[in-house]
Amino acid sequence: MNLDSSSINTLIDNAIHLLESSKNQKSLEKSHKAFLGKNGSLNKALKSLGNLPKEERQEVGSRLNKAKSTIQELYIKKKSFFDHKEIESKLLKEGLDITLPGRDKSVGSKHPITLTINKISSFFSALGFEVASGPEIETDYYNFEALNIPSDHPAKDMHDTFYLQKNLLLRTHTSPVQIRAMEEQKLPLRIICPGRVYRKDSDITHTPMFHQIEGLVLEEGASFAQLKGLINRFLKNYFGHEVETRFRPSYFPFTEPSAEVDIRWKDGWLEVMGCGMVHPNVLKGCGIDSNLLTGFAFGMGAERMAMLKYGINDLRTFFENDFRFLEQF
Amino acid sequence: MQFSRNWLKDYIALDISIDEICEQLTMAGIEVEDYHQRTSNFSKGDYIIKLDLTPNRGDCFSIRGIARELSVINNIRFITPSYPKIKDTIKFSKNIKSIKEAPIYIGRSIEGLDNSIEAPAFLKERIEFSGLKSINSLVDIMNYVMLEMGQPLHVFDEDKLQGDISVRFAKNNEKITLLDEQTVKLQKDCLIISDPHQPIAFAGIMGSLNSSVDSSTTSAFLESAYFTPGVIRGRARRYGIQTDASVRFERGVDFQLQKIAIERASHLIQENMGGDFSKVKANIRTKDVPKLKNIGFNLVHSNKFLGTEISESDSKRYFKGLGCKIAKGKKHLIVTPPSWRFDLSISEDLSEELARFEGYDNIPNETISEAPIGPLGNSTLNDISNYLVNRGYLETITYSFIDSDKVKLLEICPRPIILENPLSENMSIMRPSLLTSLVSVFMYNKNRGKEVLKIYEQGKVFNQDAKGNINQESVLAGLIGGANKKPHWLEGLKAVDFYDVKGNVESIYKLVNKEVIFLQDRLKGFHPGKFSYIALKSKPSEVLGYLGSLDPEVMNTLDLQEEVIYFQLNCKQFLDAGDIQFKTFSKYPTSQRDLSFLISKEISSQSLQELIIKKSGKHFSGISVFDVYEGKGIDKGLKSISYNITWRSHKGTLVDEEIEKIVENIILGVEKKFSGKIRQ
Repeated sequence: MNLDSSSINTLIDNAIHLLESSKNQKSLEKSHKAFLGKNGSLNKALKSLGNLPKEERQEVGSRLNKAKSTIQELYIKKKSFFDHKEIESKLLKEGLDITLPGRDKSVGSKHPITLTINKISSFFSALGFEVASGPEIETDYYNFEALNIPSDHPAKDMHDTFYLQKNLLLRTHTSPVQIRAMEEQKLPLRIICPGRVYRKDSDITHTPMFHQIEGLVLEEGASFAQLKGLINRFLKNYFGHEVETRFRPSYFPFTEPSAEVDIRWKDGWLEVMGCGMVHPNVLKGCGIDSNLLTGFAFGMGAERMAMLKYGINDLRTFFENDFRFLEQF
Repeated sequence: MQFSRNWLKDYIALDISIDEICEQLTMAGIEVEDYHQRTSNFSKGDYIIKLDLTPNRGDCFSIRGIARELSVINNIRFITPSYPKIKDTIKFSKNIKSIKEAPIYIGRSIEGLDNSIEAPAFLKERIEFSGLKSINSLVDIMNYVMLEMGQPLHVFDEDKLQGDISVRFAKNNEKITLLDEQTVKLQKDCLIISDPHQPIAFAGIMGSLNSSVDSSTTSAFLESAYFTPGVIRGRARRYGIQTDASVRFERGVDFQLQKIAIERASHLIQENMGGDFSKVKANIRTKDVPKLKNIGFNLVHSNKFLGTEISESDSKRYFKGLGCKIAKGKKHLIVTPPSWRFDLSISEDLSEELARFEGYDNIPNETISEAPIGPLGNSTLNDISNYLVNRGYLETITYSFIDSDKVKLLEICPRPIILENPLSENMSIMRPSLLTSLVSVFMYNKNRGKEVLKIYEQGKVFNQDAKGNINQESVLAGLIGGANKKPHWLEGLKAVDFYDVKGNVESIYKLVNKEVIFLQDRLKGFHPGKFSYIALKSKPSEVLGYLGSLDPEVMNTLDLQEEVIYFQLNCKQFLDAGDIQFKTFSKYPTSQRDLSFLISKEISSQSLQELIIKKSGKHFSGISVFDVYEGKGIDKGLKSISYNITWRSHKGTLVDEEIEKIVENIILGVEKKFSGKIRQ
């Protein structure tokens, strides 16, 4: 074999050229075999090194070995390119229409009243209010008398009550929970009481069952100014920072002073809450000395809060449980 | 209560706009519901103002009362007009007898008047602006004085009375035909005015038809009385006859007003219709007349209570303006509210008055003290709710009272809790479970074409034991029917079955880290072979809930052909979820075996599994069913059931011989207890 310099160069150039230009795995393998195979031209050249004079052997040998590794590198690079290409074309055949819908995407929803109660409760929980609940079938004592509403008091006219046998009734508000808490729990006290209440009334703006959320703070130094601060903070949290509020005097038998809270809504004011300082008679009935502890309480209708938040305009929708309504939440 | 703005000018010289008046009243707790302009024939640019009064403010059922409020708010003088006294020219010849519920009863006779003369037009206009109709002069004047002062007056046709007057309680079922021509049977807690023969008025509520005045009346008997609120309250409501008089009496009328009011009315009558007047005959039971109360008032305490800094001079001005008398006590002020303010009896009531006139909006906003370290809230129920929502359930909220017929069809309710005054028959009993409610929601939405019906609700259920004790506990219930999920292009609709729901229930218990067992049983309303109670594994006697397919026969009567599955879990069990305690786990690989048994169909997987676990030794780590088969190739009455069982030791890899020994033991046990055979 001719091992002069120009022949070697030609050999190397040919090899590089052939490998570079191979179109597929098969032609690459063929070219590889032609140069680096057992009988490949490079190997042949290496075998014929012995024919060279001793002083040239080393230099030519080193050139040939260098060329061998260059070609081998090129081969590996090229091979991995073809391998990759092959896998890719195989994978592309497995391609999906990713615009088709995924499997089992159904998700249910919570009732908007629950969402509202959760949202409001979590605001108060963060301020140390414990969520409390109580019976819905109540006695006249807890629903009225303990709340400073004696029988045939005109305030009772505001509550159209459902009665059961044995002088039991369906609670007309969640306030009995406050009485039970004041009787049973350790003082001081901060509670929030969401729950179902019942009044015998049914028209466009009334349903015979609805939900109230009431809160009670009973601790030394609780003041009307604190009540105002708390309610304003809550309403900003619920309706947004820019909401405008006002407090105006009102009457509830179980608070003194009592207030109604309005928010600015569209062109006017809208009543959203009632509140006040717990009436000393109520505290006294629970065995609490109003000279030592003072308290304030507040309450709101969950339905109204939900209607304002979600833009629902018909109260009755809440209890029809039509999926077209429920699914939206 | 509605009134004419210009009428206020008799008492106060108010020079502010109608908007300001209404704003001031509302912000003082005298809520203005509505106002609108009216053209008056007697004064310029009048307005009608409509109030929504709270039950504590009986004193504001009069022009005087409202004017007084405005005088304090605006710090202007309140004018008390005086009227000349009438000369008496005839004798008063009746005896009046009253009882303690009518501590003040004042009468006067008038003769020779002409009631065919109409009342003055300005007076009629004011009455009309106040929402009342003009009837005849005498009645109009009575109404006028009531609107002006708040004292309801009554006038009888003297010629229709037969002698002395007594105020007494009615006899049971005593009949009276009232001015509105309805006859009512009174009960013995109703106060009446009576002559010796018959009732002539339902005291404080309405006069009788047979003693009423008309345009031909020439002699009259005027009544001005104070009835205690307690004897009027509830009565008008009971008979459905709320009147302008009853509304005032039941809230409390100024007990120092009766003489002034009767003189005012007499004056108007004489001016307009002439007539001869008797002396005023006053029957007053002094010891039964309400007493003025002295309230000790400490301004420092009040300011602390309100969070305000109201000065002593301001507070005195407010109190005086309201008609209170003030004296200095040893440590605090002694405030004596006026006779028209029944709602002021304790120091907190006075604080409210200060707050009202200071303006609630002018009271500062303060921060409550730092949050106390309370117990951690329990969010387990919320977690369960989230899980169900993630499984596609919609939460419902349904009424707690339901249709008794539907309950009879679907549930057992031996001692229903019945409403005495339900809104309607289909809302008449308190629900014993949530089943009937959820079935109704299911049907409502199915009828509207919904295919996937998965709902849940949390609420109280109401039951009564044999002794009549009422139990009201919270439960979480779910119901699914129709398709398991929405149709998908990869897989068709699959109808729900028992195991869909059981899987959800099992996941809930996994979520709350509780081990439960399922106890096959029967319950009315459910499929006899597809019902299970759920109990705590460590205490099987304690039932925590149940689940089952609804009875197909019942479903048929509801015209439902498909399977509907219901579950109900009591909520109490979820409230005591303690903290999870970490257990160390083994780092060594598990050994596992698959075992299939041929066993009688009657034997439950649960009992077989319990036996396997018992025989599996201390290294047992888990078991699961991977196949159940019956039919071709299996003898009738038998089923094949296959388990995958795993073992794992904390100390090292288990050797095959050890496992083989356990498996032998299991097979032997199953043979012995259930006559089951291992299936090769």
